[in-house]
Amino acid sequence: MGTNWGSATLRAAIFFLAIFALSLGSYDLALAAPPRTPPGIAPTSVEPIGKDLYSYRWGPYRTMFAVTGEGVIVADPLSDEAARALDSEIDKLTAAPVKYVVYSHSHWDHAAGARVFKDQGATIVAQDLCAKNISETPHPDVLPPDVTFADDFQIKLGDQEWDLHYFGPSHSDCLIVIQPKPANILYLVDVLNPPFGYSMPWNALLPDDHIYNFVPFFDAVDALAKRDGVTQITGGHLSVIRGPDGKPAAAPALGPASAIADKRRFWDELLTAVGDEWAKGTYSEVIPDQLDLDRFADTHGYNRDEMWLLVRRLGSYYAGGR
Amino acid sequence: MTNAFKICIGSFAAALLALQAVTAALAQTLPFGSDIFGPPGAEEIGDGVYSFRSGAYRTMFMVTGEGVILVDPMGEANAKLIDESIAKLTDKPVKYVVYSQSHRDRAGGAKLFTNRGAKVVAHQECALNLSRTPFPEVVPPDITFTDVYSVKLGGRSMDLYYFGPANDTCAIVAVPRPGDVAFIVNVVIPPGASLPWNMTLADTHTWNIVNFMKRVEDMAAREGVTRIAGSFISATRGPNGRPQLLPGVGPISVVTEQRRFWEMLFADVKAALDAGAPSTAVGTKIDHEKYKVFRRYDEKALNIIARRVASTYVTGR
Ligand SMILES: [Zn+2]
Repeated sequence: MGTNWGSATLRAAIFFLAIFALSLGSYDLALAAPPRTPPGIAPTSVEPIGKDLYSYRWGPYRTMFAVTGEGVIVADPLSDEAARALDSEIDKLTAAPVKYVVYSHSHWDHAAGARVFKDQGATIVAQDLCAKNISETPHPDVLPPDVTFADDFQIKLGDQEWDLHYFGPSHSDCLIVIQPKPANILYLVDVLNPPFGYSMPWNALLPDDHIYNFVPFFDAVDALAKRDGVTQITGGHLSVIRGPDGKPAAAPALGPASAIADKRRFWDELLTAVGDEWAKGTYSEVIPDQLDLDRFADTHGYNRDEMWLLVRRLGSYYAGGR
Repeated sequence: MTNAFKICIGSFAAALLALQAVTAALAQTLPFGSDIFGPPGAEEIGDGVYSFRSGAYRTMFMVTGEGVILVDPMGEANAKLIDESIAKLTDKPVKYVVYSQSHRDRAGGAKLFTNRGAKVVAHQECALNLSRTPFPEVVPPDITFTDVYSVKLGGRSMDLYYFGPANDTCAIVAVPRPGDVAFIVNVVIPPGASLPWNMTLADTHTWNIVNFMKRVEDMAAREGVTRIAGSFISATRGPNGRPQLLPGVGPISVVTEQRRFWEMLFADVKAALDAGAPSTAVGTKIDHEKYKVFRRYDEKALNIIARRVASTYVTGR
């Protein structure tokens, strides 16, 4: 890969690599195969992101865990194989068992793999609707939660406290925002991936996404961040950036909390553009051909075909309300 | 492959393969309210049972001695047209409006009828959806149910069945009784099996789609339902080269053919993923030839639908 590429080309290449890694890697995870990453990026990593708090990366996926004298709290286990690898990393830091596993949402590619922790006596915590989803779409590696909650839940272990917040349907109908303290960061999965705020969604088709609540969801997350002085966030995926040598590199696990407001603005501006076109009487299915998509060319990960698809999906949202 | 499926593919394939691209493009871009197929109106598809069409949309109503049961007003403008159409057939009022799902393009417009005393019936999940996303033109339901409900009027009934999430979380199948025709919203488009109307599969719960079809088939076998009516038009090219509307009803075997479409696609997508295809590109790794017998076949659309199915394998949804 040359270092003299224009930034647009590089951006496109990085986007391609990220998408490639994500799509390939995510399915491979379902099959419990080794993680794949773009060339030059280590397959896994452990990165401190606060006091006794770590981001664990498995290929294109991220999760986090907190270590205390009384045990460990793990967020998404990701897959059987990822969870076993994570368990080995935890063993290097503490002899204490994993006491809690917290699902960010019910999708298999994040929620699978809790068995290795459950065998140590861990309690699995998730939002109420995740339990319903997991019973409707069961997977042998996705364990049902032991404890569920509706709006807010607090886990206290040693000097760690994890506050779990539910702000309504967003990506899936049970996604929560996790606020580990004392680190006081936010863990946001699939709705946003730092450092990118004004950015394309992972999947332009928005399967199992609840568009009607996107803007209110980000408003609520932003209000939480402002209320509690949160300045940094972490995500559920690897973000690929340009390294010092000009080659693709893994972005740090932490990014600025300003990405929350930026992502809100992305949805607000795109939804407004599509909604205005629909309000003019344009048939929803031709909106992507009517709209000047390149208006959004500054969006991180922008690709005209993907934006066409996303706008088509948003057209259906205006036509049908969902 | 069932005999019905073979026969259906055989008879449609010969006549329609060459026209598929044209009709697919036609149906996909036909605007709501378009009069390309003539003015909106109703055709009788059973005893006192009518399929009403406006533009690319269809719905159904049943006329009884004591009033009318209407499925989906389809928006305020269509509600007026439906009202005019019904007035030509009976002087009795619409007593019940049944929502086939909660999407506003179908559920909107009931006020015209509720102002005259009609009651709105819908699945309870529709009530939940409409409370979360209310729209000024969509009247919330008066009567909700969970599994089965029978709307009775004038010695007849409209039997409503819920088979889990499909297109929307609250879509139902409506069967006017006595009668042998079932109205199914969005997920089948008579008279034949087809690619889905919306290639993005917006608010479509792919994980339950095969099961949904199976449950419709079981119900049909149990209840003597032999035909289905749909919520979208299907079109072809007439002998004069002009677009020609196809019947809004088809044999119940269309549901089986549609299930086989999904089963085939799920199997092909899984095989492509197992072979290492990225989920964004699975559509290009499957054999499109065998999908060309399905109405509305379009290469890009099938690729996008395959990609959506890949998500189901990755996330479960
Ligand atoms: Zn997800």
